[in-house]
Amino acid sequence: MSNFCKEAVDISHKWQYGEATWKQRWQLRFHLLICKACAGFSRKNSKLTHLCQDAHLHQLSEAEKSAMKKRLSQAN
Amino acid sequence: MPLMSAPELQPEHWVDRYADYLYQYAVTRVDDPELARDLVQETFVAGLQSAPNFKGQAAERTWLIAILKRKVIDHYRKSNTKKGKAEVRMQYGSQSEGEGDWLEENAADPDSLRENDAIENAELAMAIQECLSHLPDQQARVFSMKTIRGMSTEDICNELGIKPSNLWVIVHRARTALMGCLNESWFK
Repeated sequence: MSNFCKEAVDISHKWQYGEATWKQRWQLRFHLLICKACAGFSRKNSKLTHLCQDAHLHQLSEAEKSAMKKRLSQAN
Repeated sequence: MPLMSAPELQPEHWVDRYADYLYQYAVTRVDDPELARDLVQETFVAGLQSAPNFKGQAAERTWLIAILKRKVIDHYRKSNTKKGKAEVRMQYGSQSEGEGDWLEENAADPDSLRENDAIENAELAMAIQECLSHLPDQQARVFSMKTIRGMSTEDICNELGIKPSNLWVIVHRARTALMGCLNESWFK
């Protein structure tokens, strides 16, 4: 574990959402070459992103949910 | 030995606890977001009406899924009774480039394993929704806004009144928990 690990985890998350800067991406790449723990974490993190993409997740919006709650309370 | 009392239904929590899970189930089966939403709504109403029949043998969510399953079947049954709609529709040459593209060439390759992908992905989606439902509310909400709805960090922070640094801590906790949960439920 190095001092950079905490930051590496943070960059790894930002990278998943396309929010890591060019500089951060290179910092992480170099760090992953020397840190097995972060390399493992980063791999799993990317895997989770791919799983979520493959799964085509759907969710109701807050507005749809409150409309549902309203109808349910009327039916009750 | 004292008799265990049957668990009671809690309709007031249904939408928060199960709406997304039921919606994911419906949307992968009817492939129409609006119809899926209506089916989930009908399921809740039907659940409420038949609440006295709930014997407590199944978990609340399992019971609701059983109702939703009937709704999905009923939907297909209804659409199939309308004449002419039950036929298989084939898109001829939508991806082909003209002559020589025979229907046979569009048929599934019997040796391919790819056609299981859709089924597997639907199951994966349910596994992820299941794991999401175990997360604390705030983590599930932030993860969903970011990952499923693809909202920007700024928009989420504004909506929830949190700082970006705080958001990333929540995202970290949610993702770590999801990795652990999927490791148990999906990769085993």
